Amino acid sequence: MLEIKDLKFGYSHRKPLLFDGFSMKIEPGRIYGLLGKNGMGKSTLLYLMSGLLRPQGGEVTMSGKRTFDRLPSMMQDIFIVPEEFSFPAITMKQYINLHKPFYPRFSDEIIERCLRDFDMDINLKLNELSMGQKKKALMCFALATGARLLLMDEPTNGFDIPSKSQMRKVIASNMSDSRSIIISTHQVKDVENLLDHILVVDGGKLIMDCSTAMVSEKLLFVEQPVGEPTDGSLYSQPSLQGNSVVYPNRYGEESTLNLETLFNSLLSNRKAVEEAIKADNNG
Amino acid sequence: MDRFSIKRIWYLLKLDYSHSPEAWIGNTASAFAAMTVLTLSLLWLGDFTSFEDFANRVMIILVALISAGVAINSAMMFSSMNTKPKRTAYLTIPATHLEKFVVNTFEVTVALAIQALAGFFLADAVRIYLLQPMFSLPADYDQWIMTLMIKMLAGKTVFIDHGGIAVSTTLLFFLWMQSFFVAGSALWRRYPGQRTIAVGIIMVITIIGIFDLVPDVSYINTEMIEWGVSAWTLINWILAYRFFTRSQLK
Repeated sequence: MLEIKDLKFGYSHRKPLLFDGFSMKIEPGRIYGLLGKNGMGKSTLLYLMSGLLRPQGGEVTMSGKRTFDRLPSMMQDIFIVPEEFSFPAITMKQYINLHKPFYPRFSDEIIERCLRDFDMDINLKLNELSMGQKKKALMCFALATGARLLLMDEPTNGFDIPSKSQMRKVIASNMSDSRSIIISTHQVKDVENLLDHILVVDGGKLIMDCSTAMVSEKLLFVEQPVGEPTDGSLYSQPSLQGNSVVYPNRYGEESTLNLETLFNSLLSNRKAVEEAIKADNNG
Repeated sequence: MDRFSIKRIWYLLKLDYSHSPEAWIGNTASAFAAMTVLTLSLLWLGDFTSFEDFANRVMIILVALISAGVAINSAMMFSSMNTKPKRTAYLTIPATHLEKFVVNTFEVTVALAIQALAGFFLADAVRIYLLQPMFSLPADYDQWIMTLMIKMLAGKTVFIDHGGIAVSTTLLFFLWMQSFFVAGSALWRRYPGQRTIAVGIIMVITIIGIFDLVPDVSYINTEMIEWGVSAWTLINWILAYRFFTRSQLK
């Protein structure tokens, strides 16, 4: 679906490149979590994927077409919900009527259903909404466009607790085999249960590109009381229950994926975590 | 789907209008206000000898106002992209670069001309039907200055004195100035007008400097200048399109 090959990109000639030889593939039918520390280029990657930034080397293509060319056929297939955006002083209904002609696969049914799920009124004036409400409105529109690749940058910023749950339901119910969603977020707890695949960016490289199923198969996430030994662990961090610990999953045990712990373990003990994921569990 | 589409042009125009309908009306209102204030001021001063004298003064000041209006509007051609959120929204609309460029060009050329003419004609009407009776002017003052101006632009002989400056040269200057500010608007996201003026000043100083160094410039005639300015105008538009297609978030 989308491919990034040997990407080179930086914001300033005076600073090192943010990405230098970065490669990645996005397959259809998955919800990706894009994680990384501040400044590692998560938002930049989303902008490059949506054609808003021009690579200085390498290429970013969607179905073989360069995203920076911003051809209509490609832009109908990609929709970005950025972290910051603004709406004109019109109602949601007017916004839909003005923008939907650009999306031949736009579905009125989907947008009505999504707005209903988010408890939003189609006649509300968009510029008078709170940040969370604006995000919901744009998310509904994004899902209704029929775009095959949705990019969401910190989608739960500004969401109250019920809204986060609504968002998970709305996204899950609008997924299909031909669509992929990439969610860039620091709020991993909000999207943990939604993700099929994890991408972790650090130092301009993709240090994890793995399905959640694979991670759960190869790693064991355990909550241990304080004082309990953590021998053989890949990583351990304090938690409310005591310690959140990551072990290699040698015996095929089931555990609930803890994205935050996984992320921290990758940054602290990357080589060991990578080896554990690559390891053959049969033995 | 990726070919030029008149339908998408229409959708883009509707979208642009919806984002700032007041701007479309504002241009007409500004033209109306400028001309009304101008004619009212001149009538108040009242030191003109004939309608011809009056019309000439209106025309001279109107040309200056139109120049300013063209420069300001052209510098704002890509104001739909002057913040990061607006830029994101506009660049990701599924339309070709050419369609978006054509729409923006239409807005600062044809649409602006129609809005300005509507404002000027309305102001002319106010002068004829409201102001002249107030100032008890002779009957021959109830001529439409705008009609005379259009006849002059079309090459017809009218009494309006344009000081020997060829109408074609004036029009060419307007077109060049518009293209120069349009290129600036496409290149710079912030303060495009001010930056374009600064570059313009540098260019003028450079050109004057070059002409000072050249020993003999008497072979340069008006026709050569007009061809040169026309070519420069075309280059500006090509540059503007190129800058626009390479627009990005950073």
